[in-house]
Amino acid sequence: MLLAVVALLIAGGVRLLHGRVQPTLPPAPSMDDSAAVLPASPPAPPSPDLNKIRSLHAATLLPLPATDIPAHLQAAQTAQRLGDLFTAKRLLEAALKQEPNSIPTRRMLADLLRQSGLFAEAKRLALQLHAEQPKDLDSFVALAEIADAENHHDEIFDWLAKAHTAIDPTVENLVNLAHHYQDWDDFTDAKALTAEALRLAPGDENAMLQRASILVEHGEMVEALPLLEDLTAHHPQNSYACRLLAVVLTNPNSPRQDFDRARTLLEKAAELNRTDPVTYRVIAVVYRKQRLYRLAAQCYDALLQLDPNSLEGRFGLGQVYALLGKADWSREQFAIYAKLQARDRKMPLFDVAIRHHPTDPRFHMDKARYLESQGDLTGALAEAETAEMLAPGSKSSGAMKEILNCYALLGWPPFEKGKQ
Amino acid sequence: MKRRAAFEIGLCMALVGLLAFSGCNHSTGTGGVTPAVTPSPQAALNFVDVTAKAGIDWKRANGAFGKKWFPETAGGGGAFIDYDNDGYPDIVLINGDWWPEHPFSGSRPQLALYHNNHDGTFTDVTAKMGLAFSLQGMGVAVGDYDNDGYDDLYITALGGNRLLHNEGGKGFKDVSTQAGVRDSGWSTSAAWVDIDNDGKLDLFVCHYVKWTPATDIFCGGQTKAYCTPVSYPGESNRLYHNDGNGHFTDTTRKAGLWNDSGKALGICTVDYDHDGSIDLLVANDGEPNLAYHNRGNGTFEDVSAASGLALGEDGKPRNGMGIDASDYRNDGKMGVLVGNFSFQGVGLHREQTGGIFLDAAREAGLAQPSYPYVTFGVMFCDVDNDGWPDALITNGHVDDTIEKTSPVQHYLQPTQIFLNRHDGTFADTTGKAGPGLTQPLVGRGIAWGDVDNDGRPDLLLIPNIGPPRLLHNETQSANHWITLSFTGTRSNRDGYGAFVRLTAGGITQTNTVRSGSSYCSQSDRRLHFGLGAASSAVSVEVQWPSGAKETWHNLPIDRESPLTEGKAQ
Repeated sequence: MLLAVVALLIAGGVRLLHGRVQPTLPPAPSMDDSAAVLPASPPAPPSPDLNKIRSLHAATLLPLPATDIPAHLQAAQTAQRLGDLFTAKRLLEAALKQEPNSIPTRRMLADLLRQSGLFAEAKRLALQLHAEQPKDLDSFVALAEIADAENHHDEIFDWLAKAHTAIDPTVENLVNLAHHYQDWDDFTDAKALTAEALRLAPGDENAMLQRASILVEHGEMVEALPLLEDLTAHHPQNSYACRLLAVVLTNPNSPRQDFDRARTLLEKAAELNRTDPVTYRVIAVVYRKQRLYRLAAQCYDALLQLDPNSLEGRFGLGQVYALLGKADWSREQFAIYAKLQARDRKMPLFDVAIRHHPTDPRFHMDKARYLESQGDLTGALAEAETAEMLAPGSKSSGAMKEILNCYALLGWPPFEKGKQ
Repeated sequence: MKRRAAFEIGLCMALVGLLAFSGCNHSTGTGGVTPAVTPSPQAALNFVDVTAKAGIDWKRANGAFGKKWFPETAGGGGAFIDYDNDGYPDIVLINGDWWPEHPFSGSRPQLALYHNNHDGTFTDVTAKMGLAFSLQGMGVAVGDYDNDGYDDLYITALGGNRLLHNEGGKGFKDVSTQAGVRDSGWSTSAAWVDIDNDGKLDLFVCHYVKWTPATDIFCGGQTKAYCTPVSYPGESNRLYHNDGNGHFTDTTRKAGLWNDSGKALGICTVDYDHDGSIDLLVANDGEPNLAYHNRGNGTFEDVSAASGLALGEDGKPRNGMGIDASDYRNDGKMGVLVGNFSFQGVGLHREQTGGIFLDAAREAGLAQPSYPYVTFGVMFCDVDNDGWPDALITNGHVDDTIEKTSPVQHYLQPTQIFLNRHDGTFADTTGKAGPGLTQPLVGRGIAWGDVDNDGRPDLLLIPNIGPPRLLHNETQSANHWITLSFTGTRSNRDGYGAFVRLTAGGITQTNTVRSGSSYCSQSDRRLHFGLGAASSAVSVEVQWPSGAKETWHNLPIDRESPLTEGKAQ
């Protein structure tokens, strides 16, 4: 059985918790491309760290001191990441027995209930929290997220607008609210909020970065460029600002384009944050554009160390190897890309169906079965447990059977029915 | 729906911009990204809008009534078809329709067929020819599927397509149901293609997404916007094999073409590896593009990833719309042009060694000028007859209210012509290609046809909404040309799939006779070659789909030459 599980996991790849190795940094800017060393062999296909998943899950099942609320929350968070929503819920409920009024615990529980499609319970809890903390931004956002999950679109912006009126107008609050507006595609309000934050605290690092990101996403490079120049001049250690400025400096809509400077900024961003896959992705493209293919290959390699499932990394590396005349390596990476892409390409179908029918367990089970067939067992487990939460005890959904199956395939201790 | 984590921000759009950047004018250093530009004398283009003068008064409707239903954004197309074999291309235009839930007053939108009167004017023969019907039309493909000598029409639509048999140039008869190609769902571009070289045209139909009014969803911020295709599940394209008895069989799965995650908008049928079997290149909207290599036995191998055609340079799928291919460097290697969404720039996937394509749009000078626009129709056509294919694209946003939410985008956008500089790069002539190309429109389909047979390709632009534009090419130049028309005998009668190699003035040009390409549209099915200063007769080598190879020598220039399979001198 174990061999079958491993084969399945290697074939499909578990999307969570691959070994996170510190990637090799791209060479310094002055380094000659021809001197860049390629690995002895190309990056292998993604292989999941099954043992790590198992040990992490085992830790969530250990007895915890009843009064250690942070330990309960941390374990619940891990369980949720591993797709085990029942364990996460049980841990949160245990914490609430000790501290029934704990705000972080109730907030986490409301979030878990929303993600599990139990909208009425989630909303009841979120409204309770909101009543207790009427000026707290997170309470408004939680309610907006529930409205979003229920496809009650107008309510989302009602809650955000109410938040703007109710919250203390601190820079932190305004920037956070701007971020939420941006994420819901309302750039006008997002920009207005960052402007308000910058009036309160001109030069505030987070407010400037948030505003710059909104401007860049909205294509307003003329305004974004001086803002990012100012930000990086005053906060040169902000890796996100460096990366964003580099992106602007290579954008056709930008009033100034400078690839060499972009490259320097990206190399600095990589130095400052060695675990940001996006930086490696962007710098690889800049290197490619400058025909520094060996350096580009090193960056794609680093990206794949961080995220072995990266489609961009596999495809980019396939192209760069082709340009370097390594046809066999190129074909190998393209083949891995094709497998990963085939695995992912049906996901939007399931997501759209769930989006339309968030409380119908059948659509969660469709997704669960597909994920299991692709080797994403933790993803499958999350969907199966959601289906079981939506229709407890329903034999027709097949959720419990799927949960037991996932547990077995993951090598976890048998799921104890009745404990959910 | 909420989208992503903090500080991934700004990259969705900006990163593709980075990749679209053209280094031609702005490179500052080490990269070697600046192509060696050799300016060449180029004629001043002069396209004149003759739509009204020609008597074309049709308008396209998209049925929009405020609910922002997704299909309203997508149409439409048109084609040049010489339906009566009088030697002059006529015009067919595909209309949208009102939604049943919301009829407007006045005449319901219909297709249109305009007959070419040979004097610069056209006559509306829609009703006379049996085409006065309404549907949520998208595109059209022209091909003589029964080899009776008259080109037939396949009209794609949302909710069922139409195969219209040409009854000897006297009218069109709807044979969709008995032919088995009524199809369903949401079809977009289509192409006639003989995939097994059996002398009978098969039919490839692009499919987009699953959408109905009942499954329409809310997208956007505080007010509804048109959704992107990511909001809807895709539909698989279809391949209909021509059984030779007026009936077609759906062989999509058997041929290895079933893919229900693709969201296809464009199809280009070319034999990119010159093995004698036509391959299929499909532009997908928000999903990886598809490249299918024809194994020569009626089945295909998916080489999308290995060919490099699937994605943009950043390794992400772009929003592909129209697609075309050309040997634009006259070196025998293919360049595949793909229209993409705004802030992505067009893709120009250039064939390298080993069957790998790399996006050369920025080096070619195409990415940056197309960057702000939503590009639908794309095609190669030598509009100045210098012997080098130029790149033409038509643009138009999908959202009629985009100016309210974006300070840098517009609903109406320019049509752009990029003149081939003969060195792998193109010169942008936007706004300088004559009075007919100064006004923006909500561009979708684009096609060329030589409506007056003067050797200068004219253009047809089909918008999403409003009147089409017929642009007469009045460019003055001393360049020579030749137009070739094809008649298959053992091969399909249209000669679709014939690979043509023409040598003149020391330059060898290649092209393939084909249906499809562009966006939902089809150009004149004759091949047109500019010859530049070459003033002597030309040689033409044709490899027919049947496998026969023939060479015509000493073909006269500045006129059309009909080439019939088996009749070379």
